[in-house]
Amino acid sequence: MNTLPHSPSVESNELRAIRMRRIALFLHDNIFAITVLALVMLAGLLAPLLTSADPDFINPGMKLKPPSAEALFGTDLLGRDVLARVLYGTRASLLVGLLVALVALVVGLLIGLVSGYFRSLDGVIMRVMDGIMAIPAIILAVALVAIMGANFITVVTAIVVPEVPRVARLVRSVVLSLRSEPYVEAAVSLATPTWRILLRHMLPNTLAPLIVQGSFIVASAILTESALSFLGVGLPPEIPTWGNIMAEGRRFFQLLPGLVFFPGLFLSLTVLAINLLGDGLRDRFDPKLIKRA
Amino acid sequence: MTNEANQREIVLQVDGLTVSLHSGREIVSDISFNVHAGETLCIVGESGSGKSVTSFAVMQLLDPAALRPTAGSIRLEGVDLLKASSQELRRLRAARMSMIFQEPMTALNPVERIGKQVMEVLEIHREGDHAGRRARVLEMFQMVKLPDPERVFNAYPHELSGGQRQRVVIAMALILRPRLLIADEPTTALDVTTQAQILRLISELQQEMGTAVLFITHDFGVVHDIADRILVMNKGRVVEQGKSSDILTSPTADYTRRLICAVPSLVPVPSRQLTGEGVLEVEGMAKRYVMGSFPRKRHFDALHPTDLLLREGEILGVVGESGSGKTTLARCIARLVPASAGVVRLKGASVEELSSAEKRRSRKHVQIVFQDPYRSMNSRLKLRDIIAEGMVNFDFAPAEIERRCNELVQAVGLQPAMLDRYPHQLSGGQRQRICIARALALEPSVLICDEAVSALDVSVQEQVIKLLLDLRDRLGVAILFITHDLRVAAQLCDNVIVMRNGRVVEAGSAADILTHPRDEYTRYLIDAVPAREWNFRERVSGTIATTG
Amino acid sequence: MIFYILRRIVATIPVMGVVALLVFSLLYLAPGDPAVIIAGESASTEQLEKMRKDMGLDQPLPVQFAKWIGKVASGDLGTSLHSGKKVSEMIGARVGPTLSLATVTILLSLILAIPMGIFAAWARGRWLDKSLMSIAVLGFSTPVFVVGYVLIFLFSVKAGWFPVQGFTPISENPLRFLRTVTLPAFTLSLAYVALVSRITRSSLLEMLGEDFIRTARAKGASERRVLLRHALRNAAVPILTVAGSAAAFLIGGVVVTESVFNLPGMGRLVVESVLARDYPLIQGLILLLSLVYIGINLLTDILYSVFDPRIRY
Repeated sequence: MNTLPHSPSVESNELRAIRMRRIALFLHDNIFAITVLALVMLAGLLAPLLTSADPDFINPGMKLKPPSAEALFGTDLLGRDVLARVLYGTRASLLVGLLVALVALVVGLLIGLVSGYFRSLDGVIMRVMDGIMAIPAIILAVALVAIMGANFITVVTAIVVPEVPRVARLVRSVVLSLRSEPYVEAAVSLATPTWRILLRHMLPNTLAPLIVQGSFIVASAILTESALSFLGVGLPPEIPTWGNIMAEGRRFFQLLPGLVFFPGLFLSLTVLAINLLGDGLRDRFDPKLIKRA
Repeated sequence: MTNEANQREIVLQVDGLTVSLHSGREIVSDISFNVHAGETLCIVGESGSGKSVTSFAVMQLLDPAALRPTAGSIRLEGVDLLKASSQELRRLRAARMSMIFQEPMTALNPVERIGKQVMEVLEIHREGDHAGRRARVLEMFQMVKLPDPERVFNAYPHELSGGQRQRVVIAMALILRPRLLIADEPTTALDVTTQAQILRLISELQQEMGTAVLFITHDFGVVHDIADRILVMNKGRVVEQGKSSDILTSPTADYTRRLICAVPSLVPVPSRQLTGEGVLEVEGMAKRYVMGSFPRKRHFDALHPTDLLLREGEILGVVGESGSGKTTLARCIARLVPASAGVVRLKGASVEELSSAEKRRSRKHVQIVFQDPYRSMNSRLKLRDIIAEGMVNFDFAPAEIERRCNELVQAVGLQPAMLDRYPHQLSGGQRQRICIARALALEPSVLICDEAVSALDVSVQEQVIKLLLDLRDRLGVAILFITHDLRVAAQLCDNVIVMRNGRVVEAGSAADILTHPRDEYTRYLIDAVPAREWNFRERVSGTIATTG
Repeated sequence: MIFYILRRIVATIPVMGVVALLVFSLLYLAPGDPAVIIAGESASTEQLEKMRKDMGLDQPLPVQFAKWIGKVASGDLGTSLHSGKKVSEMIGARVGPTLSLATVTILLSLILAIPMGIFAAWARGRWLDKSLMSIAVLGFSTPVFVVGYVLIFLFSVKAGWFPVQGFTPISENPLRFLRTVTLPAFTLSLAYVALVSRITRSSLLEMLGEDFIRTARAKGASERRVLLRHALRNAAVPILTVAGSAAAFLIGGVVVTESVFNLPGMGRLVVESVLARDYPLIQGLILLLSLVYIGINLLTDILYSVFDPRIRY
């Protein structure tokens, strides 16, 4: 296993081949999740091409029609085309999910790095994080939106806040375990400045768990956003989101179950695919599995 | 010893055994051996030789997801274990064949009381009622010389020392008086004095019960003390096997001879005249840990006030068992943990008096090499960047860094072409050389080696010891060498301090201390070294060239 | 052991303090003057002035916080802006349905989750494992309200076994109680069961790689014994950790479930208070639900020491 390849070019070719094989294996193992996600993203991006209906077009003559050839998913109370609204709704849901994950990861990473490395700040920071974590996520998000008013930015903020402590804790635990690694101690003995130790020796090792965590945050953010919309405290009702469509449709559920089921199906499939992808990433990055391979 | 007829009875017969990965790669290839009742067969080899895989194959405890036997047979008293059903195997385990493991700290279930765990063996094999089982376990605890068996019976594993836990595992393994005992490096994780006791215990119980012992080890000292016969393995194959005395004195294979010659002698190298100035002075250094919180606040003195002086070109050994405070001393000097008290002077200048920026810069004078070469390097960086890290911190010019990297890599016996590689492409010994190169990049006046050769195979260990001696001669660097291995200390150190429970019990020249120890503990420590009187290199016939 | 429990209890004090501070400051996160928010846009300057005096809004923030904490500690959560009733009374009136729902859900989860995890670990890599774990991923990927409507559609609308909505207290009619609480409890427990069974399986599998499992096998222990006697108890701590922290899903899920099934519990009250911007009521609810969550986690912390002797310092 420790034999050395003969020349640098052979070596890099071999490494590239190994990397390609790993990527191919990952794609193969997660084909369902990746396909579903790709389709959902395409549906959102290509919504104008997939349907000629305008999601916001109000047609009083077409109120609450069951699925038909003109409106595949039926129409809602205002006569809007539900298929169009579901397709366009993909955009808001995915955007909220990705944005929340990105912001939560960056903020949580910074807090976690500081908390893990600077022992003097650790106590205070972690108590605040514990406090935020002690408020159930949906409740906190609902309250924040209620107080700040519902628009895109406040909704994203309200979903980000409860996610940050989890990321910060994860990063902190990685940093704490790395602090006592001999290679970090060697860097300390070499008089390496703290910022460089964090940047060079710790940050790269937090990336793998962060990517995994990030994918789970995307899933849970999409769920939380739809729950907020469903409860009527999410994005304004004129923006088509899966949660909003269901919130409007639930009153007519017994008459037209599709108003709840079609957006619900899109929502569940998307979240399922993201969670499966997260599982796949975790298996891929899990050092124990790598060691065994 | 038991009687002669019993001696000749074959308990374990391994014939043409091959164990492979699922990919088809053979980890153990076509090995055959017998173990007789009452005898000890030692399988010796370096890491990766397949010796442990062999022992797990006999117990049929290989991870079926990774390894499986693909050819040959393993017969225990005539029963072919490779053909046995899993139910049959479960009946045989503990009853006819038993195993003790390398890591006593993790071998026991941490959340169950000790007594219950040993009683479980009897429970599984349906021996006796509850009261009877309990009595038998207590009796067995007495046999393995556990102090206060009643207390141990009710204790949890974390309340026992490593040596005590290993005694519990031995009790568990032998309570049903199996015919075969497999011991996989059972003393490697233990201190040398505990090792001596455990080895004695195993051989006493073996004599009493007539057990056949298959003993896996990498340590020729242990082999010399306990083996009746030896089997040497290398890369999954048998190199040679035969009577212990034959193999140790006149091995037929060159590989065996090289291995035996690499074992450092306990006879110290002759003293050198040290004329250099003191580069590192430590006065009253102490470390106290405070544990727990308010109602149960306790403290623990890992290091009592300690002094030492290190001269230019000197190698000072700090020896002791685990918990002796030797590593704490090293880490305090390297300022990886803050000392609770004490003064450090580097070339006469006190570190305490420096400003915090100067303190950081003064780190360059003291560098450290750690035990585990696999965790000592950031696996994402190329070797060049690893070696260059310190020089970058001290703003060396890029051209200068490149020149020094080339120089350093050659100084530790590797080629400059390797600078573009990553750590995972290197062997353990090569990694440790890179760690040394990195430590030397800032031209420190003191190099601390914290068990720096302890994780290496003997043949690699020998090379790294030579490298350190060579670097001392050429660069005049002073080395503070922390080790638990008296053999290594004897070959390397000018002076030695012996530590126990955070205190220095004896200090002096290596030659004096190792040949005429004054302190009782030092004497005890030296006596515990396996095959203490056996100077392997001199006893083995047909010498091979020592240096290339 | 006693010291450990006492220390865990003491450790929740700063957490509760931070929660109280967060809840208190919610009002000040809102854009604009708290007095205007409370009294409404139409209030006159004099009314606002009086309001500030009455509620102590003219005093420095730390003083306001201290007074507020004092009142909360004595059980006074303030008065609802909307109904004028005491917040504590309003919440008290809604505890019943939520408590019933929570009890049935927790019982259901415990019966399902751990055995599912054990079976999956036992059948690791085989079809039983794969199907159980697929159900689990599906379980926490499907939003509570979608699960709720699917169940309503199948069992109430189509089969007619359960009422579509509404709640009957157990004291009134135990049979009707069961009929009204079964679907909500299933809905609510699905995600929780999914999470707990997954962690049960994965911690069991992780334990199977430990040295003491190898020792157990060397003793001749059967697979069943290895899993149930050796792996399970050692896996208790990670399972408890997830079971405790995932209780947040339950509490959050209560809000959505009660809304779907129209149960008159605390969860519905949360939505009502938010839609009415009834700040004292919102604050009181968050505070109370967070305390419940902190209590659950305190309980799991204490249970750690029952399962793992190393945590009894």
